[in-house]
Amino acid sequence: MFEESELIALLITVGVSFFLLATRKIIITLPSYQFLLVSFGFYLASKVCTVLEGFFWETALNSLEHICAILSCAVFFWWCLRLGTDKESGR
Amino acid sequence: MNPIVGLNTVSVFFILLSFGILLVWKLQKLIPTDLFLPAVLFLFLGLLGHISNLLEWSGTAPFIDRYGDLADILQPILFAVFVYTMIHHRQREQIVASEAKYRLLVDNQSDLITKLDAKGNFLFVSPSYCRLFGKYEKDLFGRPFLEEVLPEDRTRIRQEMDILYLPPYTCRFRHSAQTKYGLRVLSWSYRALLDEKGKPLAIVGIGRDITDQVQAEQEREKMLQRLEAKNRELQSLVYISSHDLQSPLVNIRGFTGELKTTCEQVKNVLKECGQYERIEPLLKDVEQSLYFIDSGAEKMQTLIDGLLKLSRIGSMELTVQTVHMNGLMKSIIEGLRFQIQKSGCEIIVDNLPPCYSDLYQVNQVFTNLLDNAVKFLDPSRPGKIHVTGQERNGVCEYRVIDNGIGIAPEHHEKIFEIFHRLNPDGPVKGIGLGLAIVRRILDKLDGTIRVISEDGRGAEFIVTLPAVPAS
Repeated sequence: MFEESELIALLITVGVSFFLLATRKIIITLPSYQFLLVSFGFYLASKVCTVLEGFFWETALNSLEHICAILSCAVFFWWCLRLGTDKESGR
Repeated sequence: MNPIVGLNTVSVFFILLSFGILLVWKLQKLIPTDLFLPAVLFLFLGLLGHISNLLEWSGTAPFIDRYGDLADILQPILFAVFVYTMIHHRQREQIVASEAKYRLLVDNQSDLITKLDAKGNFLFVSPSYCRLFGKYEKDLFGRPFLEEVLPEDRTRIRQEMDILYLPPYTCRFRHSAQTKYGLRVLSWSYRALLDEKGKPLAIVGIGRDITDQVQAEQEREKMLQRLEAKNRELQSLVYISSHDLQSPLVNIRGFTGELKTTCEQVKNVLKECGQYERIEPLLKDVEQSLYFIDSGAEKMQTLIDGLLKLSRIGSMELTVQTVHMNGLMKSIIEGLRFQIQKSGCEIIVDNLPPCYSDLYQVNQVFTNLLDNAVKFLDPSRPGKIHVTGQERNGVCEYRVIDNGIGIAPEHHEKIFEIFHRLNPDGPVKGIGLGLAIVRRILDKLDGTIRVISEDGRGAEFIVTLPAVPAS
């Protein structure tokens, strides 16, 4: 069974997704915004897996949750790297 | 090792790398503090979540799981805050860039730019304004615009600016101002900025230093006045000289006639006395001299008449009316019937549009043109003169086309000069005043004249005159 905190975290993450959707016109002006959105996508996927693992395929979804978390962190790291170089190049 | 522990360790590794990179960018001042802090907090919460997972698996600190749950909840919120901060930061950058762009335009503008409140006090002045007046923006801020206007101009400018409160909420004026570079004349164009209710909130104005232009205008005006005075003087000189020369000339011609009569009488007396043969050569000399005096005086009379005519054009009173050109042309041809018949030429007159001018002067213009066309026909071919006309854009254009001897292009302008004759020794007599009179009359009537011609190929004189107004 899932924990309450996991459900709350998922709901808040979905709420943030709507926020990103609403501000997409400005977000696309941010440097390397694609990486930031992909990172958030993986983060959202990990939260979904966390909740779903309480219902079925516990082991597989748990592994998927952690893989999504790694990918989210890795892409975020790449975005951080691009943030400085993009700024430097004046883009 | 448990695979979940391994996965979490990799995540922690990437989070620490991200943190390190952000720190480097911060130290290099590539990202601002307001962006750095939420990003670091976001990463910290991620780190806390993953560490809590690791510790949970190892079972060393079960209490930390509660903090891990809290971090999981707070992390997306921090992400939203972080993104919001970035958006805010980007918008601020765009505003700064936009302001810099407009600031660049305003700062490098040679025209003067001002913004006043509804009472006419300065809210903004461009650097060009400050440079001209040798003042700083802060000194002018809140001060009335009228303080920079010369006291004698202030009442007028205040009245001019009152117009800004009425549609179309714009005004233009010029005034003198004491600037760093002395007394200058400034020209302003002001526009009121209105609120939703249509009430003026502020006034923006663009000004330009037009001192040099005003000085040039004044110079031009003075020159024009002097030119007009000289012209009047010259006209009156020509008129007076021509007029005063008439009386001695009449005397010369009169007494020449007297002398001729006396000579005839002397000749008759000598013939009766039988002495004529002795004095005949002497009398012939006298008669020849009298002939030269008479013909010279006659030529002089023609010249004086022409000059008088020319000088009268400048001072003539015009009676502008609708001139029916068809009827006028008929009467001109009637007047020239003798010359036309003598030359044997054919004259074709198309239907001509009426013009709006002085009947007498237009008559003079076309009489001269037709007279010239008849005079300068080519004897080697049958003469043909065609008069045509049309109205276009408020102007009537008439053409007098002949197949005469033509005019070489280099003489096209000279023929309108006074006393200029193309062939002074030619068979056609004249003093070179006809076309000069035509041009002066047309100048007076707001008309124009030009010629299209080539030597030996006829000539086409194009005259324009104002058309009859539609109303």
